[in-house]
Formats: sequence, C-alpha cells, structure tokens
Amino acid sequence: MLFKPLKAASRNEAYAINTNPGENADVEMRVSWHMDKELVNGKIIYTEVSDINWENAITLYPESYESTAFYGLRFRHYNAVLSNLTPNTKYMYKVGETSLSEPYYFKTSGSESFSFVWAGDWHTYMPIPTRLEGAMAIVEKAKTVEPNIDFFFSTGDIVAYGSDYEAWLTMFNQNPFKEYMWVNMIGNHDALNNVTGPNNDNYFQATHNYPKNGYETQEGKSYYFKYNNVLFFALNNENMNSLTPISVVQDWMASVIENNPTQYIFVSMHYQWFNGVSGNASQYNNWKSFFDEHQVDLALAGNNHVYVRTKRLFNDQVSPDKGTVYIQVPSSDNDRGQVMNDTFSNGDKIASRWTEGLNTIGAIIVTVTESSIRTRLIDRNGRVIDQANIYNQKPIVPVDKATFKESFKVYPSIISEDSVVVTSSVDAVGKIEKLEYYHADVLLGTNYYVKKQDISYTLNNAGSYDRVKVKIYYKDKTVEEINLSVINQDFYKVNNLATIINNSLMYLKWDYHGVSSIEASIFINGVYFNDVDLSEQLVLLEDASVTDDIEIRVNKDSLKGYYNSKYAIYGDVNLNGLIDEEDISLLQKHLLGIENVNIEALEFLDIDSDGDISLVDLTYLHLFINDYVESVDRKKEHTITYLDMFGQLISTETVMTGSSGTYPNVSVPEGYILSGWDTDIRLVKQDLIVQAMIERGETGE
Amino acid sequence: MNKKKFLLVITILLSLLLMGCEQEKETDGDDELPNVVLQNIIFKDNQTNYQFDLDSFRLNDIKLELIYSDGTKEFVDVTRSMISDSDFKALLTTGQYFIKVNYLDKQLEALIEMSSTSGSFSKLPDVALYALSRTELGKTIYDIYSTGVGNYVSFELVLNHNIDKDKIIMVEVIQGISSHKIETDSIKVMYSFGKPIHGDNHLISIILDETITNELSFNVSQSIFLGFTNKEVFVLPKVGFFIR
Repeated sequence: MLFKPLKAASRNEAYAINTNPGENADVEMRVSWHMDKELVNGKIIYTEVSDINWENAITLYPESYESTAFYGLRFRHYNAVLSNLTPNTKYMYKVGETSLSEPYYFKTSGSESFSFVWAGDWHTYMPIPTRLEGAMAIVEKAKTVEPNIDFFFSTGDIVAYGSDYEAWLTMFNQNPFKEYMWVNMIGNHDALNNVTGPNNDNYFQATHNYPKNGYETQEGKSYYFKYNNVLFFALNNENMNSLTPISVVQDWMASVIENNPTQYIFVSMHYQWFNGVSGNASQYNNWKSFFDEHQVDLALAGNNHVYVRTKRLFNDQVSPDKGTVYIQVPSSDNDRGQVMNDTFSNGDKIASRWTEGLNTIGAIIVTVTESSIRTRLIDRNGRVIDQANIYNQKPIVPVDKATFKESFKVYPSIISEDSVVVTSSVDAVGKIEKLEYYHADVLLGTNYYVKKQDISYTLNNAGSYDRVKVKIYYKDKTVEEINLSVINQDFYKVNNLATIINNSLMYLKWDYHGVSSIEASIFINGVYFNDVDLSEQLVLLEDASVTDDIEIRVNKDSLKGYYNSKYAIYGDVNLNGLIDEEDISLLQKHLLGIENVNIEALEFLDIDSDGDISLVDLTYLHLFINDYVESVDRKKEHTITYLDMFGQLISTETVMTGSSGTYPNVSVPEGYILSGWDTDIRLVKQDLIVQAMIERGETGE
Repeated sequence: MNKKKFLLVITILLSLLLMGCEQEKETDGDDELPNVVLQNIIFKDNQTNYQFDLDSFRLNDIKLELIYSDGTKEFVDVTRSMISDSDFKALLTTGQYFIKVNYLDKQLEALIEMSSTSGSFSKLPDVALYALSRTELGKTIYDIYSTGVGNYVSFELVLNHNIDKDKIIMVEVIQGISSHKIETDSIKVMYSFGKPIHGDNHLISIILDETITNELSFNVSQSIFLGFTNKEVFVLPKVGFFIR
C-alpha cells in the first residue's frame, strides 16, 4: 500500500476506524469505529488476508453506544472484539452497516520476532496539515528501513487538541491506521479541550477500543497487552499523580506482571524520563525502583520532542546485563521540536540524544527477538541515527514438554455437575501457543495459556465425560496429544490410608466411602506399581520396603499422588508388623551393643526426634505398649509445604506423624475460586508438598 | 520363679539363719566350764555420737561392742537388718538425726551427724540407689536397691569393677524388660518397666565369684534414670548413688 497525500476526513458510513490490540494479541484484536448515532446495526466482517474472496469471513455485530465525549457531537461508537484469531496471521476487515468500509488490516502476534514503528508528538492540527503529513511520512519511511513492520506505536500527543474531532477523523483516515494495529496512549494534548469545558481524557476513550483491563477508573485508558513475548503497559499520565497515586498504578502493574509471565516488559507513557534539552531526570525518579524490581526492559515515552536513549540502568547505575533502557521518541511533526543544550546532566546515564531543532521528524523502529531488543532511531530520510541492542535479562527457559504433559489433571467442577476442570502447570504459561480440549473429536474449548490463571480451564457440558483429550500447540510448531481420565469424585472418598505388615507381608489399606468401583494407581517411591480398585480397600505391596513412600494417584500418568502413606513402623524393631515387648528387648540389646537391629528399623526408632536413638525412645515404646502414651508416631515431625495454584510458597506447617494439617488461606485470582488442594493432608506420615487448585467461577456471595 | 531367683531366695534365707545366733558363747569339748553369757551391748567404745560423710559412709562404720560375763568383748558390724527402713533412709541424707540399732533384744540409739562436701541433701532424692554387700559361701554379693520420693520408668545403670568379668553373675531381680552386658571393667544394666515404679525395690544382685576387697562402684555419669509425667519421658535430675 502506498502512502497517499493527506486528505481531509471523508465521512463514509463508518469512520474513525482503527485497530487496537487485544489483551492477548496472539488471538485477539479490538476495532474501534464511529457511525452516525442512528446506525445501530453496525457490523464487522473479518477474515485472513489469504482469504481473498472473503469466503471464510466472520461477521460480528459488536456492542455500541452513543458517545457524547465531543462537545456538540453525537455519534455511535462501536467496540468490536475479534477473538480466537490465529497467531502470526494477517487479517483484514471491513466495518459498516449497509455500506462497508474499505479493508483495514492487522497482524496477530506469534511470529519468532516482530517490529513496530514508533512515532509520537505530531500534534495533528488541521490548520497546519504538515504536522500529520510529516508523521505519516516517516512511518512510510520506516517501512523502507524495516519492511516487516507488525504494528504502529505512539506515546501520545498525536492531536493538538483532544477535543478536535476532525483532527482525529483525519488522522485515522491515513494509511498507517489502515495497515496496522495501532498502539497509543494519552498525551497531555490528547486531553486538551479548546472548545468548551475542562480538559479530559474521554476523547481518547471515545476514539479507541483498548483492552478494558486498566486499574480502577482507567479501563480502556491505561491498559496492558501481550504481543509475542512482551508484556506492554500503556499508561495515562493525565490520571497519575493528581488523581491516582503512582503507587496505586504500580501495585496494579505488579499484579499484572505477576500474572502474565513474559520474556520482556515494556512500559510506556507520555511524559519523558529525562529532559532531552537539559538531561535532567523527569519521570525516571518515579519509576526506576519499580523498573528494577520488576525487570522492565524498555521504558518508552515522548512529550519532550527530543530523542533520548539511556544506557541500561539498574540501581541508578549503568549495568551491562540487567536493568532498563529508557528511551523517548523525538517529535515527528516538523513543527514543534526543541533545540537541546550542548551540555547536559546525567551524562553518565544518557547514551544518546538527538533533535533537529524546531523542525524535527524522527521515529524509532523497535525489533524484538527471543534474545534481544533492537532499537533504531531514523530521521526523515530513513537514516539510522542511533541504535542499540538490549539483550534479555531473564533467562530463556523453554517448556519442559514431558513435565508439562505430566502436569495435567481433569477433575469434576465443584460449581457445576455439568462441567469438568482441566489444570496444568504454570511453567508453560506464555510459552505455548494454545491448548485445545476435546472429547472424541469434538472441540470443547481453547486455552491460550497467557495468564497464570489459565492453568485452570473449565469445560462446560462435559460433566458426563470420563476422558478428555488435550492437544498442546507449542511455539516450535510441534503438536502433542495427551488423553486424560476425568477424576471420579469418588476418588476423594478414601480415608485412613495406612501401610501395614502382616505375616511379614506389606500391605496398603484404606477405607473407601465411594459408591463407584473405580481404579487408581499405586506408586512406590514415585514409580508406578499397579492399578487397584479402590473398593477393594487393600493391596499387597510385593517387594516393597518399610522405608518406601507409597502413593495413590488418579492413574498411572499422574504426576503426583493425592494420597500418601508410609509404613508407621515406629517401634517395630524386628519389622514383624507388631510393636511388643520383643521389640523392647531387641532395642535394649542394640543400645547395649549386644545385638544390632535392622538398619531400616533404626530410621524409625528416634521417637523423640532428638537425632539419637536412646533409652528415652525405648521407654516411649514400652509405655506405648502399655497404653501409657497414645502414640509413638507423635514424636516425629513432618513439614507440609503449602503452595498456591501457581507454585508459590504460601506457608509451611509442622505436624506430628498421624496428625492432620490445616490448609491455609490462599488468595486466588479475581473471577476464580479455590476448588481444592492436590494432596490429602490427613494422617500425615511424611513431608508433603501441597498445591492449591482453582476453578473459574464466583463464590456466590 | 526362675532358677536364678530361686537361688537368690535360698541364699537370703540362709544368710538370715546365720545372723544373730550368738546369744550364748559356745565352748569346745566336754569341759564343765561355767556358761559365759552376754551381759551388755553398747556401741563400740561406748560411742553414741557419730560424724560421717554421706558418700563414704558405710553401715559397718558403726560397730556394736558385745560384752560377755567373762569380761571378753566381741565386735559386730551394724547391718541393714538392724536398722528400720526409716532410719536406713535417713542415712541416705545429710543432717543430724538419731537412729536406732536393734540387736538381739537390745536397742541402741546413736546420734548421727551426716554431712557432704557436695552440699546439703536433707531429703531423699527422686531416686536413691544403694548397694549392700555381703559375703556368702566364698562369694561377694551386691544387692542393689532403689528408694526415693519419685518414680521412674526405666534406667540404665553402669557399675565399674576391676575383677575378671567371667567371675561376675548378674541377677535381674525386679520384674521388667531387662538386658545387661558385663564388660572387662563395667557392668551395664538396662531396665524398662513400661509403667512408673515407686517405693522401695530390690533391682538387681551381682554375685562375684570370689571374696573381694575392692568394691563395685557406681558410674554415676553414665547411669540414667527416666521419669514419666504428663505423658512425657524425662531424665530424672536427682538421683543419688550410695554404697552402704
């Protein structure tokens, strides 16, 4: 597509059309457009670019509302959300009601690398059309430097006055907005009101459709999205400080970062980090600590009209391999640039500055690969003025496919009998393309696995299924399938699990209160041993040792046992399954050095857990035999480690053998409930690691 | 009753028969000599006040002087049987107290001043172990008893010796689960009762197959008595060891 001379906004049926990223740009895009307020049946038709005859086009009728954001104007603002898109794919769409627009284009994320062109501060102002022309020209020029531009990015001040509706219309009618997904944020000019009334940031909201995932009051104004392996934040400076403390914003961001693991983090806002004229710090001081703590890689800003790129900074010092590069875009309107001082402060931190003075046009191309970020400042002629390579500061940890596959579990929903919940490891979040869940060959759901809470996925209308198939689509384009058994509710109706010895044979026994005859798998020291019908309540553990850890798992493919047991041989010196006076006598002889006892038994004779087997332990045993003490197991301490659903430590608890633990309180993501824990903590006989499980749903309070 | 215990009881009975039968001096042959009768019994040298050290005191530190009608004297060591239980227990404490010694039909009273360089021990400890020795049929027998104000549920007792270990016989007297080991220089005895033991108990006897002059001794540092309170087993802090 060729750049065309700037023309005034034409009023087709749909206007002010622009494409914004969905929260997960792999599979979701958002489209904003306006139509006359009477046109309530607006639609969007979209398909892949390869579908040149639009034969597979999908039509959506998105929500709309009548906007009053602009003084004296009424129009219908349409907000479309295109979901379940294919990653790394070019799409086209048209909008309108009876007369559709010309095609607009975007590309979903998901390629091995991506690039975006970043221009800002062009202050579209209809009396001075060269401002917008200059900005659009350098976007076109950037394409000659980097042909594979994936989207268009700006850090605000793209109109001179936010209240100037015609400026918005004219701008959105330019080619870059037709060709690319568009990322923008609110600059001070974008909120300026030159008509009547106070400044406000609703102009931005009324002209865009960004993810409604910002902090309170900022839905659609401050937001985040993921593009490939980058978590982007776009923040509204006009709201911060005076209306919302930065600490509140940072708390929200920290939560988002925690829940959305990515290789890189980019934070963008309008106001500059450093004053490019003087070198003085501006926003830098407000954010450097947060960026250090959260390993922000790139900080993007504008406003100052002077290009500034810092060295990589961490702990307020230059760092070779970690920290943040602060960078701000020069103006691009050839009209409102600034001259910079020859001398400047923070010379130790600032790597490069650039401006063309009042008539500045510049842009930055950012290219992101798995291992590095490359920034290139170009001038109006496409010359690269400055560039930097920023290498990843977080190690690249590939998905352990085998472990990931083993982590899957399917169990009945606690909310609905018609649903089942599939859970899997958090370690693969952000590292796979998607999961597809099937029963037979019927697709039950797709999970893009970008947020931590995506480890739990509810399949509705699947309550009657006993098996679910999962297709794992890795980013390396390989696909694997696993078949999972749905955990029968009766599996959780086992109690009083114990390992015993009778006639020198070792058995695992339990009580079963279920009604179904269901099979589960016995594991010995983590190795599959045999399947067993739970209703049998007893199994012979052939060749098992008294020191072995015995588990009951859902099936042989399960990664972890829900029920755990170990032979409670405390005091059974001769390992005959009984604790009696013969054991006391044997232990006496052992202590006196007359006769040694079985080394396996010794491990379980330190009744008082003092690290030594002594007369005290012997005495406890004898008193136990005579019912003077209730249990000798009580003296053995076990640690239960409680993890949240993401594997993060909540707390630990020390319990005595045979005692029960107490599940701790756990904070679950909004919109989810705690559905249970993956390990039984009754009759604890060894150290346990216990993890919370979640399910999408409300508590009903 | 097992064989060992049976032998022990017989031994004790014999020794009781042999004691205190010297009411009238016997004469040899058929000489028509006037009978010599016991005229008086006093503490040796008519001593009635004694000062002793708690640890080194032995019952035979007190001797009776038997005065006969012909003017002859005989000296008899005080033994456990001549003293009441309460007086004997007093001799396991420090302080000033009277004890009564019964011999034949005579009762003597002595003022004892018992002291210790280790401090004051005016009351019996939780457990007091004491050993009494006697010689019988060419053997030396140590009977080891316990008394005290507390209870115990098990013990490990170590005694040091310096005789041929093959000449030592251990007799486990009190009922309980026990084991012992006789080594070249020590005897280790371990007992567990599975319940608290109170009061006065004869624990063990050690029979040495010769008449020895060197006593057995308690290895206090390696011996341990365990108590039981509130379902907790603990090492009794106050245990006394005495040879009497």
